[in-house]
This record gives sequence, C-alpha cells and structure tokens, in this order.
Amino acid sequence: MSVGTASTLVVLVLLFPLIGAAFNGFLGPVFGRQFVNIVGTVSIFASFVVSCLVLANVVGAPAGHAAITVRLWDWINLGGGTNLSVGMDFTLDALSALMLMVITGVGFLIHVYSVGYMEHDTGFARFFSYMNFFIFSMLTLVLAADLVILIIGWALVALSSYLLIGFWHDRPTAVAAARKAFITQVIGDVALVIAAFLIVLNTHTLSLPNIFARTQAFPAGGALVTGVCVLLAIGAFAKSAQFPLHTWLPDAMEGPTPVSALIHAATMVTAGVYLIARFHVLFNLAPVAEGLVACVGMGTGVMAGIIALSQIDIKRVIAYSTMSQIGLMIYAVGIGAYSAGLFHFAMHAVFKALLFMAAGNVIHALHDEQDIRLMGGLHSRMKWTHLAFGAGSLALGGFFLFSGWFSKEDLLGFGTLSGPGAAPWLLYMVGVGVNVLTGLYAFRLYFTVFQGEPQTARGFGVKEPGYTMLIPVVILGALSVFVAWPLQFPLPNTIHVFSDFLSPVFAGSQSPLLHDPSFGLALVGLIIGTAASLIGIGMATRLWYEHRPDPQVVLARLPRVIPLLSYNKFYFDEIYDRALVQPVKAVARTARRVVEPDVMDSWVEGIGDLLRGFSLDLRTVQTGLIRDYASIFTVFAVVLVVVWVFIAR
Amino acid sequence: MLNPNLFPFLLGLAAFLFTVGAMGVLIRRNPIVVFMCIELMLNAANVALVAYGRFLNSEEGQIFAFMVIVVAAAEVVVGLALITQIFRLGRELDVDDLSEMKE
Repeated sequence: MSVGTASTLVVLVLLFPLIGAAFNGFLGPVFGRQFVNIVGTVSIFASFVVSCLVLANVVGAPAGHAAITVRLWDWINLGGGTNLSVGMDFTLDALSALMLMVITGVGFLIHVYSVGYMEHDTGFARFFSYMNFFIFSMLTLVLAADLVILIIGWALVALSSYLLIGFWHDRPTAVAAARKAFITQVIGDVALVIAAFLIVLNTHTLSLPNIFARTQAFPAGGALVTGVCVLLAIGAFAKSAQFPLHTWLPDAMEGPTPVSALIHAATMVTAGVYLIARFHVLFNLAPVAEGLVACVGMGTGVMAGIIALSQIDIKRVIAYSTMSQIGLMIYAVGIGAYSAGLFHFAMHAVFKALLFMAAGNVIHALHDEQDIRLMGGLHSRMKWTHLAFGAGSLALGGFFLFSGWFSKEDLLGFGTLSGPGAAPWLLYMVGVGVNVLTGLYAFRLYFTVFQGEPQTARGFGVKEPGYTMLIPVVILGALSVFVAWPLQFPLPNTIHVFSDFLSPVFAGSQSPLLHDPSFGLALVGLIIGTAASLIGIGMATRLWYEHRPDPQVVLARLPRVIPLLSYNKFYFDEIYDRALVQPVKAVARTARRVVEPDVMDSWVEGIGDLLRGFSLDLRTVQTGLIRDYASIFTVFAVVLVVVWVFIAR
Repeated sequence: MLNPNLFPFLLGLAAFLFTVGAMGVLIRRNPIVVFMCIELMLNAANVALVAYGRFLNSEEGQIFAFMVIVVAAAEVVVGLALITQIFRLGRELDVDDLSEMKE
C-alpha cells in the first residue's frame, strides 16, 4: 500500500460520514425524510466500502509492511528547539482496519435499522446528523496516529454520545443521563490528557509511532510508566464503563435504541479496549498497571453480571451485560492477550448490536414498554426477531459453536497460564464464574421476554416491525452464529486467522504477564469454560422456563444482601450521591449563605462605598464660583512656576 | 538699542501689571471689571514678550505680542457678547451670582 493510496483511503473513510453529518444537519430539515434516510445510510455504506478496501490493502500488504502512517498535513508546527509538531497523522494497520470494519459494518446496519426506528420521530434529520457525526468521531479516534488527534477523536466521541443520549431533550431523565455520561467521560479525558503530557515530557514527540519507538524514555516497571498507564487506564475505564466510572452506561439507555446499539454496545464503549491495545507497548512495561487493569476488568465483569440478573428494564439488562462483557475484554488486554480481547470486541459488537436492535423491535411492538415483567410469549408472534434474539443470547451466553463461545473461551484460555503467583488463577476462576453469570442473565432475559405467555393485553397483538428494522437484525443474527467459524478457534495450533491478522501490531512487544497456554491446558480451560456457560444456561432454563424451582423461591432462600445489592446496582449511585454530589452541594450552599454575603459582597460593596464617599467629598470642590476656580488656578500656576524655577532646575 | 539696564524694570512693570490684573480677577465681582483685568493680564504678558524680544534681539517676541492682541480681540468679542446676554436676561452682573454649574 503506497502512501498515496493510504492517504486517499483515510480521507475518504473519514469524509463520507462527515459530509453525511453536515448534509443531514443543514439540509435534512429542508429536503425531508427521504433525503435524510438516503444520505444517512449511504454515507456510512460508502465508508464501509472504503474500510473493506483498507482491509484488503492491509491483508494484501507484504509481510512487515502492513502498517502505514500518513500525514495529511501539518496542523501545528511549534518549530524552534522543541521540534514539536501536531500533524494530521493517521495509521492504517491491522488494528485500525479491524476497528474500521466493525464501526462502519455494524454502524451501517444500525443506520439502516434507524430508518425504521425513527420513522415517526420528527427529529430524524438531527438524529442522522448526530449518528453520522459519531461515526466520523469514532473513525478519527481509531485512525489517529497523533496524541492530539487521538484526544480530539476521544472527546468528539464523548460529545456525540452526549448529544445522542440527550436526543429526546424534552425528557428531563434523558438530559440528566446525557450530562452524567459526559461528566464521567470528562474525568477520563482529564486522565488521558495528563497521561499525554507525561508522555510528551518524556519522549518529546506527539506522534504515536515515535512514542512507541522511544520507550527507552520509560524504565520498565518504573513509577513513570506505571503512572502513565494507570492514567491511560482511567481514561479507558471512563469510556468503557468500568468500575468505578461505570454508572453512566445504564442511564445512557435513555437514548433511542439504535444509539444504545451503536454507541453503548458495539463501538464507543469498546474504545477503552482499543486504547489499551494501541498503547500496549507502554502497558507491557508496566506490569502493575496491567494487573490493575485485569483486576478492574474482571471485577466489573462479575459486578455487572450480578446486577444484570435482577434488572427489570430490558435495555438496562443488556447494558449491564455489555458492561460485564467489556470487563472481560479489559481483563484480556490487561493480561496482555490483546488479540483475544479484540476478538471478543468484534464478536460482541455483532451480537450485542443484534440484542439491542431486537430489544428495540420488542419495545416498538409493545408501544414503548421496557419492563420485562410485562412482556412474555413473543416467540410465536415475532418469529424473526425471536430467532435473532435467541441466536444473540446463545452467542452472549457462550453456547457451543456460537460466536461468543469462540471469543470468550479464547479470551479465558489465556488466563490459565499468565503471570506469577495465584492471582491470575484466581482471576481465571472468577472469569469462569462470569461465564455462569452470563448464561444466567442472558437466558433470564430471553425466557422472560419471548417464552411463556404475554403478560399484558398488548402482548397478544404484537407484530413484526417493517423490513428496515428486521433485515439488519436477521443479518446480525446470522453473523452471530457463523462469523467466528473461519476466524479463530479457541485452541492453540488450530484456526488462527484473526490473531495472525493482528499479530504484526502486537509483535514488537510481549506482556511479561502472558504466556501462550499449551494445547492440553487450553483444552482443559476450554472444557471448563464451556461447561460453566452451559451450567449458566441450564440453570436459567430451569429457573425461568420450567420454573423448577420458581425463581421467587430461590430468591427467598438467598441471603437478603445479594438481591438487595443486585437490584440496587451495588448502591453506586447512592454512594456517589452521598460522597460527591451532596458534599459539593453542601459546599455550594455554604458559599451562597456565608461566603457570598460576608466575604464577596463586603469586598465589592466596600470598594463601592469607598469610591462613593470619596466622590461625594470631591463634589464639594465644584462651587460654581468662577473666582474660586480662578484662585485655585492662580495658586497652582504660582506653585508650578516656583517649583519649576527654583526647585526643579 | 535700548539700555540693557532697563530690562529688569520692563519685566517688573509686566509683573506688576499682571499681579494687578490677577488680583482684580480674583477680587472684583463685576464681570466687566473682571474682563478688563483679564485684558490687563494679557497686556502685561505683551509687555514681557516685547521686552524679551527686544533684549534678545529677536522679532519673535513682537510676533507673539501681535498674536496675543488678535486672540484678546476675539476674546473680547465673545466675552462682551456673553455679558450682554446675561444682562439681557435681567440678571445681576455679579460673577458670584452666576454659579449654576456647581454640584
């Protein structure tokens, strides 16, 4: 791939969504719905075609030349002794090609789905403009080869997420959720920017390839590189909804369902995984930070899995499952199994977008009902949606030979043999536990929504949605069954197309924590993991399908604290409210009551009073008597002359 | 050529006239008299200018004196017009009475 080709591809892939966003935003309200639908979807499709060309170019490139960085133009050149410049640098390599494929491919299907979903909404032009803009921001983020461009993409993604969560801006809950998401993102942004400062201070360059080439600036395992990596990880946690910055993701479900599918399941929330994979060179130098990332990822995986078991809003259940699965990805990139983590990202993007869109079909059919207790019995009434949702649930639950099984087992297999001490084993066992949990909550949702009998009168009259909403769901349903088969098999020395494709990106440095498991160990791990998933699915079948025993009975037997913690989402919102929001409000109230009147006002009014008193005194000089003025004039003229003649000279 | 010894006397005359004029401006209350005193001050300055011009052998002093005369003439026009107007308004001709500009 020549530099010219690469530049053209980069420009095209970025330009189509941007033009789409501009056209929809400015001309959409003028030309109407048909225009917006066509521009919105075609722009993403064009971007998808270019992404395919990128992929073909990366795959077809001779070994060792698959990665190319192009500079479109010099943006800021500080010149002088600093030699620091910000270039419009973009990288095309296997990692960015993979991200491009997922973002534009899944993104295109979701845009098609949105045509049907937003059919009756008056804000369609604004919606498609934001969606296209999101795709543009996300592509900027994953293509960036310069820290500044990366941070710009990072922040634009948060902005479009904010705009889309608060899309229905007449709902106070949506506005509050959008604000919460944005504020949490900014915490991550700040950490990321501080990390960038530290990197620039020590490597004297902003270009990512140069940073990764100058790792001698970072002593391995030192405090500096650990600090940088922890800050990067905080940025990743905020974006990927990981503990302790995870509370925004469930609230983000206030946005339209296609937004949840695209941004809060398939693409944006996995940006943290991408960031850590992109900065793997630094992370491999900081085992402490890697361990932290792995623990946080796995911890979030368990926590979100437990919460997902008791939520009653269909979208929130899927949101918590997203959080849990991203926890697994974060765990994988934490222990250094980058291609395993990214494989799960790609598979997850497919089946999670599918689950969200199928849930959107259900919500649509039930006239905006989101409470799963009021659903049920939809399997015969919404055949295609039911089939697709079932396939997605099996993939999510890790059922044998569904895409989620390949990626999750591949990911967990690496845990069997990484790092020193007992901690990795412990994490691995927790990962097996997450498998059980995933099967449980995935099929609790499936059985409650689709099996049994309708719980409301509306449930008897549901119909499948139109083709624009059905076809993307069916395509993704088929993909979530087949897509993993030719790509990767979770055992060493079998099919490894996916990890071979990504291996040039991660070839340069190896995590000190990671060892490739031997065939035997991987096989044992695979059997344990598969069994765990099946146990989870089986338990869910008994509980929520056969009701032997009834879930209520099981619930009564559990210690009361578990359902309480689960239903109340581990009280994180309450804790943050008490620990952060209330103190800040208290400080603000005190400031209003004490500081403002006593300190600020006395200052300001004191100066005012002083000036007023002074000018009142000064006013009396104005007598209006000409002879007074003349006297003053004369006296000062004499004084001036005396000073000038006798003193100054 | 004038006797150089005369120079201090001429300057003294100018200072005397100026002081008389200034005191008149400060003390008298009739605007016409105040006006005449201002003219006196201007002419004291003229005397000083001419004396300097003469003793420094330069014509600039006399040129300045002419300028002052012209300005004084213009000023007389404005000033007397103002005084006439005040008189026509039926007001007392007293500078202390004309104090509407005070705070």
